[in-house]
Amino acid sequence: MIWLRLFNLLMAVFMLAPLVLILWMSFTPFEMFRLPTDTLSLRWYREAFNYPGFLNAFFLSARLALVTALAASVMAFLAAYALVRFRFPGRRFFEALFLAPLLVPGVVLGIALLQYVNAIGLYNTFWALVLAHVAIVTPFALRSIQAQIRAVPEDLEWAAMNLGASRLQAMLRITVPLTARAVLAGFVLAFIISFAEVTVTIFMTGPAYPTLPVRIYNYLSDQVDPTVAAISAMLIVLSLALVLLLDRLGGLRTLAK
Amino acid sequence: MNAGARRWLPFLLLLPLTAVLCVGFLLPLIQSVENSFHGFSPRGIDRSTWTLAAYTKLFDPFYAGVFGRTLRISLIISAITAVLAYPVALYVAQLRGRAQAFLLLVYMSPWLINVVVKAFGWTLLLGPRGTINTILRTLGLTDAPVPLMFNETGVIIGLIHGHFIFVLLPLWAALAGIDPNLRWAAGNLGARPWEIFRRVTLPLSLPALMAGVIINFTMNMAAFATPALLGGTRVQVVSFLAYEVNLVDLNWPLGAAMSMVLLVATLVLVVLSQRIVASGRRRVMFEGAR
Amino acid sequence: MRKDRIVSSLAAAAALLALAPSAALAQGKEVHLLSWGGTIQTMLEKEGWADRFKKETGYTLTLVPKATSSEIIATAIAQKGKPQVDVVLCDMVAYLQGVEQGIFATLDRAKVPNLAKMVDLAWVKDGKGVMTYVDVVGMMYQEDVFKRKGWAPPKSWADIMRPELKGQLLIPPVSNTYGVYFLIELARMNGGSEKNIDPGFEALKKLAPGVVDWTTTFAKIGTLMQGEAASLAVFGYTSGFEIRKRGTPVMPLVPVPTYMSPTVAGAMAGSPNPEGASALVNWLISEPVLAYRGERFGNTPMNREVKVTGENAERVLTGDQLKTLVNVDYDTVLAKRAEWNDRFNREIATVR
Repeated sequence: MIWLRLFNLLMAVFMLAPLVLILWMSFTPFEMFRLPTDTLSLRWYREAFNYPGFLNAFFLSARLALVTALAASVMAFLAAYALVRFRFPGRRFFEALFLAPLLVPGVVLGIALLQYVNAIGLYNTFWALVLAHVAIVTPFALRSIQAQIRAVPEDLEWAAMNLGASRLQAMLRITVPLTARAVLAGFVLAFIISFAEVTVTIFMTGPAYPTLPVRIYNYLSDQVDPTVAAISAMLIVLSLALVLLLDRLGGLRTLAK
Repeated sequence: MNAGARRWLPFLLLLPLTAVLCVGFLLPLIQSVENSFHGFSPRGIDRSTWTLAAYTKLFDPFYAGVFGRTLRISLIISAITAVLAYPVALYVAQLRGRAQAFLLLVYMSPWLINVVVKAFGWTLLLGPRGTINTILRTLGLTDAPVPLMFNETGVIIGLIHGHFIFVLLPLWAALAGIDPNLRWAAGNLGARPWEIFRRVTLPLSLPALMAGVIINFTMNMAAFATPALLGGTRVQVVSFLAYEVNLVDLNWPLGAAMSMVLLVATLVLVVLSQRIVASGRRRVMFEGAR
Repeated sequence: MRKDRIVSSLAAAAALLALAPSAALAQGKEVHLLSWGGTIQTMLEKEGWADRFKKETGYTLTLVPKATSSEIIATAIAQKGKPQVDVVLCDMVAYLQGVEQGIFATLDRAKVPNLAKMVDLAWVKDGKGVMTYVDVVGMMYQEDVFKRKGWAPPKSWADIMRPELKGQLLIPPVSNTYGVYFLIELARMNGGSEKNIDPGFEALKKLAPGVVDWTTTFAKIGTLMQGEAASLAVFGYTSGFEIRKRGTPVMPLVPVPTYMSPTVAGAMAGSPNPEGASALVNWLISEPVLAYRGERFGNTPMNREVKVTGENAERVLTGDQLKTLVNVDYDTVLAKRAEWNDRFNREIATVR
């Protein structure tokens, strides 16, 4: 157990190392991505708040990721249930289809989506982004949910149905609770992919909907300053606060039990 | 439930996702597939001609080399990630609620930072005069800087870091979900910890591990930003080339053809690996039962 | 184009699934500019230039930001036939690719009166676009490192081949606009030209093992120079100053022969707001905007009547200097762009 703990500590250090550097750098007084040596400064935090573009982009991204993750985890559960519990023609096709979207290089899908949403009059709408993001993230939520449904013995559902439950009731009362953790994992994966997606979004999004990653990516096109580091640092702190809040509300214990 | 309902129920369940995928993925992609069969000149796509030119161009050893490199790097990353993520998942899964959530946040944190900004973090860390090389020099371990960036090492480090959560999360969900009574029962029946792990824990978590590795692998195959920023032009992967061909050359037919080959090749690999694992799993289960 | 119509009607049918209404294009009063999300966006949104535009012309200016010229032009081409943007502003080479694909309208002298004030050089492809301002291709080197090692400061393009600089170089790849000009200069330096590019590639091949990174963005050049990962870089002249201003002791220089890297503006063919497009192009080449670009970034305005003052004024090229710039054979560049890029990726990019 001690070895496991030590190993985990090492991995956590590896995970956090570049982030800690960015956090540290965000306090730089310099106008470059340069680590502060003797003085710390909050100027880039001021800059970040002085530019409403970033703040608006953050709220847009959060909204988009939330809608995307909700839609994706529900639809992925339904689809995963069908793929695991039923044998029907075309099952393999659906499996392949659901895995395909993140395999197409972002540029290609992005340009294709831009042409397409433009043709159908959805260009520069929030729903165009939702459609694209759900398509991109769902397959990944689906995989982990699928694996978990497979681990729930179908006998349990049959037993419920023998006792008079409908198939739907059996699914909702037996399978959903038993796979809740995987659905949650799927939700989280969907959320973070959507929140960070840039290569597809950059092409297809209209001027009214610049997501945060797209905004940051564009910002660094012909200039550089640590504003973006300050924003990243604030994101880390914000999610930490969110987890603390959830913990306070008692959400974490129930979630992991 | 009658037989008729049973026949259409799965399709009903698949309908929402399939509909979204049609609009958000399939229909736009069809346009790309069509593009891949058209001719190209600096004047743009020539929609009046149909040709296989883009695909025959890909038969070049240069492109084969790029595909080979992408595949090799992706496999290496997935393999290392699987080995590293399993002990982490084991550890995290047995923690109490709060600690569990915080550790998962640690592993999720790379996604809170924009990939471009993260790459600058890596530059500070891995660069020729970065933190790691400075430490190595101060310790007297090296004279010349160890090249950790602008090569495959950089890409592998960056992607293990970036895509770790895709293996960890499903694995955590599965391991945390294993009924502790199972292990307790096995222990009561005289199984040693190692045997409990091999015969109970491992087989029960294998599907989730596999699911995670497949996600991880596909992410690696399609990764663009991290290889471009940490590997530079020297580590050409398919996505990097697809980016250049589509945007710099504006050769959309070739770019689309490249994507199709990447898509089909990866899908075939995934299906094959699933078959192999499925048969392997049956063997493990069988042994476990004995 | 009948097949296109079938595809789009199929698409429209599928779109019924998505109940959202079509994007409401504000009729007449909105004008969209497709350009960079860096300094251009900061200027328009944060420094109030979009508001100034509205006050002067009555149009609401909306920026459609992208990160690179290639991304800008690809976005424009993807909207061919049904553009959602009115004006495009990007690098010359990418812009010409767009001209070749027929996405730009010819500018109307009557509706863009400022065109009369432009230098002759600024005219792009018979009025399919106009150069707004130019930067020149330059080098920057780490003064301290050169002094410490006792190296002579670089002066000419040829200095880049000096053996002691092996492992010290940052050079833009051929996919980058500056990289294209650098390749042409290498070819010319070794007896070739745009039409005979081989000597250029041979020189690149010699340089390749000594290149730290084939760098494409300002941000990356800045970070690598500041970390002293390299000590000599080829990039835009103004970028060198910008990096110096931010506290990294690099010295920018402009080697002779001098290549310019123009930024071009033009109106999309079939733009949703052609009147607004003309007004915006006219504004982009007007005195206040170009004076600002010159004073803030040292860009040389192509409008004869612009007076640049302040600390950057000396960096702005004079009319005489403009005449000495190298004329690049853009038709050949355009025809060969994909081929050169492909060749670079095959022969040069992976060399260590």
